[in-house]
Amino acid sequence: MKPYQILVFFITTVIALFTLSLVFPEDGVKISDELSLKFLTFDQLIKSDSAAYADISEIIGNSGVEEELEIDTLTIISDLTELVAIDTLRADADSLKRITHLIEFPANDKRNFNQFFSNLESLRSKKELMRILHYGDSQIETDRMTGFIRNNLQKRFGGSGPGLIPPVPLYSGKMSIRQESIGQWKRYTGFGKIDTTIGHNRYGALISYCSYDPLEIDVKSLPALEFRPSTIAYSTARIYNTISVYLSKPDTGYLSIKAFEEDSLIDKLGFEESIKYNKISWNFVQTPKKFSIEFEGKARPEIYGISLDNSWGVAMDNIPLRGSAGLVFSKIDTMQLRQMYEDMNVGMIILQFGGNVVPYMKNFKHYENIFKRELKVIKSMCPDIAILVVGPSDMSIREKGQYITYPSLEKVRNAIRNASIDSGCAFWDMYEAMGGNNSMPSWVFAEPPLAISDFVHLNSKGAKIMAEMMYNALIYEYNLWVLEGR
Amino acid sequence: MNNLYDIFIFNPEKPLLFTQMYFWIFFGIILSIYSIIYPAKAARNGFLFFASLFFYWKTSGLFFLLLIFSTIVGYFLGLGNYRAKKKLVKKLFVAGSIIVNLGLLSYFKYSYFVTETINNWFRTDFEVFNFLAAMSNSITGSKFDVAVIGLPVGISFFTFQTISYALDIYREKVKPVRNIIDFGFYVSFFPQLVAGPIVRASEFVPQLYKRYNLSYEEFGYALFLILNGLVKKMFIGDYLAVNFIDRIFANPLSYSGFENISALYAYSLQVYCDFSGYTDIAIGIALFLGFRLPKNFNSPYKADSVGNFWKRWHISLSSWLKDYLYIPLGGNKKGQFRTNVNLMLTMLLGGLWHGASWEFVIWGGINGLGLLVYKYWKRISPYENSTHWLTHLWKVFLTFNFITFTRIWFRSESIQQANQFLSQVWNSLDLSLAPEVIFSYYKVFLIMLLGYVVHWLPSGFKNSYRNWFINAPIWVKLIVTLIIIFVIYQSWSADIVPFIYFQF
Repeated sequence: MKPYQILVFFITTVIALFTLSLVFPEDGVKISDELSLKFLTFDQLIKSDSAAYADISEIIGNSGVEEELEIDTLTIISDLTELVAIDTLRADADSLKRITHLIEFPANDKRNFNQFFSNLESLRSKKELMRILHYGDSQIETDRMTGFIRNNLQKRFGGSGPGLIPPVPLYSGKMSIRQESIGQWKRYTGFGKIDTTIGHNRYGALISYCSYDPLEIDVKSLPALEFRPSTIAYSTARIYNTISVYLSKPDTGYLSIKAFEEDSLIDKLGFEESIKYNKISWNFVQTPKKFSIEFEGKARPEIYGISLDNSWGVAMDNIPLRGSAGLVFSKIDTMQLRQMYEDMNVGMIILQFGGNVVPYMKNFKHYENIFKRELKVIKSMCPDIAILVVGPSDMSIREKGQYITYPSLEKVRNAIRNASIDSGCAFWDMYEAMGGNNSMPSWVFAEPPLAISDFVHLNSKGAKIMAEMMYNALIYEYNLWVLEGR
Repeated sequence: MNNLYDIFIFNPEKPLLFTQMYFWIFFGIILSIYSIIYPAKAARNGFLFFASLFFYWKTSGLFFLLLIFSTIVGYFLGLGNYRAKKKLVKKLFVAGSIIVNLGLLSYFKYSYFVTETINNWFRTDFEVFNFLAAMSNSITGSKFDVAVIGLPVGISFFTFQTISYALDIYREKVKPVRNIIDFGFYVSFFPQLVAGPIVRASEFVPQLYKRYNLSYEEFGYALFLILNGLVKKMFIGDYLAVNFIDRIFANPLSYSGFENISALYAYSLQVYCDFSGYTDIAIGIALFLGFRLPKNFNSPYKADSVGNFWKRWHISLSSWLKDYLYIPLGGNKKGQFRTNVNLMLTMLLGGLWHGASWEFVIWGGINGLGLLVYKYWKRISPYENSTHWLTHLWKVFLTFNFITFTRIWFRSESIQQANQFLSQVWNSLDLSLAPEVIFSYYKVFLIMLLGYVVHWLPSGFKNSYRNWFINAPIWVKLIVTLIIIFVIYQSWSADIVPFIYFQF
């Protein structure tokens, strides 16, 4: 064989492929519902072969996340026109101003947020504890986004600890705390696959609770929950001196709860009557290296969560509802939920949903209406708190080898935005903040990558950048409130 | 005009990878010119050298200057080495080549690793400073970022090739290349520049002075390798990575232990398909141009021991490490203890060669331990000499699983991520989810099954269908080629498997 013969073979192959691209149907050939054959069209072959992915260089280039996670020295510029959240050790003010994507308020009504800022500012002097609940879908799993915002808020306004956590997490759970469960604990959720045999809909603030069957107890190894500070968490999450358990006991019968610091018994409680809802707290001088709660008796507890906080300051809770579209609050017992919110002194709720409906939603007006219903339920429970709704991130589908934004994404975003604004809630547009149309591929293909190759989820690096933008947006409003004379 | 301009400028988003259309346009142009000039050896070598430099420019931008620098230094040090009469002078020349090449490799590949390690160990706060960029900025007025040291593509390969050249001249295994263009061609030959195989001067240089010669069977073999490589890389490797592996390794804590383990086994196949697929294509393309590159993979998961695995996996690297690191360290000639130390050092450094992080060192270390354990075990094993097929099957099974286990550190982006993986497997295996996971990701599991089954097919059977293709008439080859490209396109353009939740 001579090289020109190989060249002839090569050219023949190219011509054959070229001819195929001319005759192959543009929409492909459908073989079955799941399989259709596709091929490049003539247009695609001769045009540039990359979709116009969003330019995110300014967004990621200006992020200070990689340089220093622990630094937050926000200052305020006195001139209102130059108002921007500035971290003095990061980029210049102009660059940060460019990446601060602002929160939208209904008719510019910021009363609830201003009240929240006022409470936030007084936590240090009043030695009070206030919670921020960060609900979301899988985008916030394993403390993504929440961890960064919590750390920054706690450093600025006081407070520490990982916040409210489930007694038994989904798999190994979070990075912000080391926890172990002993015994046959089972997790019941008010979203996803709901166990209809439980006969009630009390799920608490985490929209899930954990329990065990007392008949299956092994007396040599009683059901217990253990907590140790994480060695990989943000520094503030490793410190806590107040631990509370939120629980109920649906049936009568004896239930004993023993609390241990390391291996020393520090408290023993006994209950005979049924308990609809209760909060039990323990205070410590310093963070216990190991804290455990042991359960014994014939009655079954339902544990709604355990909070590990400082006695005052900000507590922020990461509450991922995997697979959820955020339509859960109207389906669970709001009486008990309201009581738990009051107990926890909730000052703000963040709702970050939408991603799970993007691939399937057809009726956007319907989604808008049912999302509005959820917001109404939350507002009816706590009318004065700040509610921030965060829209979905960009998500891509692959079409003929190129990644493009889901055609329905902006419609879902608009439905959530409309529902929020109509309900008197604030809205933060994560999709626009990350670069808008076709920005997800830019996050996936960034070096290092900032999102996972499912083109839906941010990875931990990307989540930190996104969390920083969200934090900046919130602090921008706080600074504005300060400058306007509180 | 823009398209014409695009051909010549460096665009980091459009590197000349074998899996990109740009590469095949590039190759078509190269082949066209080559078809005219190939009989004239000097012109052929010169043309392929400049084509390779252009390829490197398109892949790595201005780093092609580094390749030219490495070529000039390597060539003259080699020449000096050969002409020197005294042993000491020869040693100085060879040391010079090693220092320059390892210096380049260390500077561009390991600066961040060393800085971070020092900062972690001594609680310092050093930052990487690109003094080459600073020097260029002050001399030429360029505007390179001095806070960043980029990694030139293929630097691990071309520096190792240049070192082997210097050592082979020193050991009088090879004579220096006749002129600098030929040497540049050897160092930068574009098919193997980015991902190997690492070619020895003794194997490659003599080919520079031979006439073009390619039989019809060799053409068929080259085409088979290219198509086989594309299927491995694009149909299997890329599909598994995008639709399953990447998302699980990005956040192991969000998935059950079963999903994590499945991702690990999928990765074991992916890394083989990616790497061997790429070198298959490289060998095929080189053969089209009349150059024979060494075989780099030999069904590595058929290995029946860790030692045997390393004789089948990335063969050109294993033999390089043996000849230029393990043996110079003393090999097995200095007693039991030193042999073991040499082996571990070779594996640890081999691990570090694959990537500048402690995960790769751990990966190399575990492989080294595997080699040592097997070395002693085979002395007492009652089954070592057994030829029973069940014994062989067990050994292959054990080796494959051990190698797959080591991949945890090869794939994880941090030790923390590897620990998360292990924690999920240990604490949350959740086997009850297995049927649901397999059913929901059935395409992923089918492709995985297909990949492993084909890998473990008997060599005789594989040879028979390869030989059928090699000897098939040209029109059959053309039809098979078109069908394979069409199938690869289906996989490349397939919808992303959506994110599926199994636990709430």
